[in-house]
Amino acid sequence: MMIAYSYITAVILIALGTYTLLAKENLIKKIIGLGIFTDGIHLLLISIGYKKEGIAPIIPDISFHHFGAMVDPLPQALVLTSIVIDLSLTALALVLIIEIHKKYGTINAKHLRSLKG
Amino acid sequence: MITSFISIPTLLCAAFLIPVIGIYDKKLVPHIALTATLISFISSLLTIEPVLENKVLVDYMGGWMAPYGIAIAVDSFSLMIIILITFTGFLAAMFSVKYIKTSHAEYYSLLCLLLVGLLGIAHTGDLFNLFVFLEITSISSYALTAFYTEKTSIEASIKYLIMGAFATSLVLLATALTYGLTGTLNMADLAVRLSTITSPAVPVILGLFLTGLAFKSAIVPLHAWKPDVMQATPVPIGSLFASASIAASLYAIIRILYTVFNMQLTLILLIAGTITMLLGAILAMQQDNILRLLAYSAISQVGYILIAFATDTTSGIYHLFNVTIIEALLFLSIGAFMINANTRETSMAGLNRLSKHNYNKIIPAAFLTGALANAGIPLLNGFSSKWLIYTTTLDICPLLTIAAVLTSVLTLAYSLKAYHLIFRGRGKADNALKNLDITMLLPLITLTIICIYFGIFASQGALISEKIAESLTSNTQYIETVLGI
Repeated sequence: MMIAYSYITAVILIALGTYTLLAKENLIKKIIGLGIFTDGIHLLLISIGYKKEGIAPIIPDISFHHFGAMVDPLPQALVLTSIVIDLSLTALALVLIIEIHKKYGTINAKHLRSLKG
Repeated sequence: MITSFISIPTLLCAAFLIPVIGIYDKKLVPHIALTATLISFISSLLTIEPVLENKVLVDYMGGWMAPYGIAIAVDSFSLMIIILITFTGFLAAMFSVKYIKTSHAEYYSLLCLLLVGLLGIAHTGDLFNLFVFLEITSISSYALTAFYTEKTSIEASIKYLIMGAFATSLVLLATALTYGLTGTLNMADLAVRLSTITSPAVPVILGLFLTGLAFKSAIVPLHAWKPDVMQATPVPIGSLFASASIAASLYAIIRILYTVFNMQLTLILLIAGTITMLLGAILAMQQDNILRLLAYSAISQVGYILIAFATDTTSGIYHLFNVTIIEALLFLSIGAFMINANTRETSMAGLNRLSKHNYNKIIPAAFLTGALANAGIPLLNGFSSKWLIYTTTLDICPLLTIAAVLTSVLTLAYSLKAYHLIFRGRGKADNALKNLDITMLLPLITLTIICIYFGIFASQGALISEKIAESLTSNTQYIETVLGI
């Protein structure tokens, strides 16, 4: 039953992240919502690789041969890559929000209305 | 060893060397970027012969064989996209030498990173690799949109960032579900396994992929970011967004539909294409800003490409090629005019007021060629592919032909309005005209010649597209070569 809990948590995180991204007006809160959304996807990805009573995918010494008992290491590699991508995205977003605060004086998304049509 | 794959490390090295060398010698920076883009263009041309012999070229990163390694698979459709991306990238880099006045190092570094991302999408044969290169493209686009740190640019960039990050995360979610369902991320292996699996998750995965990639191609209703971004970004990068970025993201959609899922999705592509086509043309009629008008024009042409792919793959490939050339030509000619008239104004009413006694005569000719080609006037390349679309949709549903011809009429209307307002005004305001360098005129002349060539020798383009379409219609050749069976 533990595996089902992590999938449910991942889906709840995705839903909460989407809600935060859509409903909050403060730009920083939107970026936090984006982070929660991608964290939900990462949790989903890692849970896919889980094996019941699995051990960490590290070979302790040369004579080890119980490879079937390991959890899947590929989703973990995918999640590491994705975390780094999100890091750079968040950094870029925060720099842009600083610039918006300098130009507009506010970081409320409802007040960014200078582009029309 | 695939020759065109050299372009990715070359451009990456250029992207990381340019800021370092820019500290010591600012003059070298454009030269490094031009060298790197020229090397990638030449390497993509050198791959034509191997692809004509072997149909699909495959290489595996790090030597890990199929289906566990990351595959690089170039077939004729990929090669066409690679040649288009490197060609428009080289022309944009050449154009930017005299266009960009400040922050050269950041600009050229980001330009090289954007080209790395686009070329990676065109080369890859692996789903997660597609996601990573899609993110590289997107993040470079967000940074390049905010290049002029003005009010409108920063606003366009943050809006693009929030929407685009969500959309590419949908692609990641689709990749995660694919891995959970089948256990592989290799496109060819996935095609083999998906033909035997029937699970309610397969339409969900397809829907998520298409939504994420449709955002990047600016298909209605996910098109709202494109006009803001085109207004805000420097014009050479705008030309890349309208030509190379559209080519790469439509390539990803077609690759996932035709090769991985082996379905054509005719009805959805037709509906989405028709709505995009009509909405883009109608909204373009209302625009005053020339860059927003050209953005809506690009959106409308993407609708045409979708309809073309839904009915006949040959016309889709031919129209994709023509639209890429035409959009690059249109944006670069507007940029050249803005430099010639020494103005940063993009509103057509404002451009109308400038006096134009001694402007360079090549620019209106180039813009008119692009605009008429967009509208589908005979003897230009737009007509060749649009004629194929008209004749193939006539067999399926004549209402589509009526919609397509109506959109062509609207395209002609707003293009001629733009041409007349910008280039034929009787303004009184006097701007000191700046002479144009050969680096700005050469891209315009090259693209115009290509437009006229594929307009006159239309059958050659159709024959090439037909050969490429043959390789797309059945995915067995791709699967066998990639998996090494």
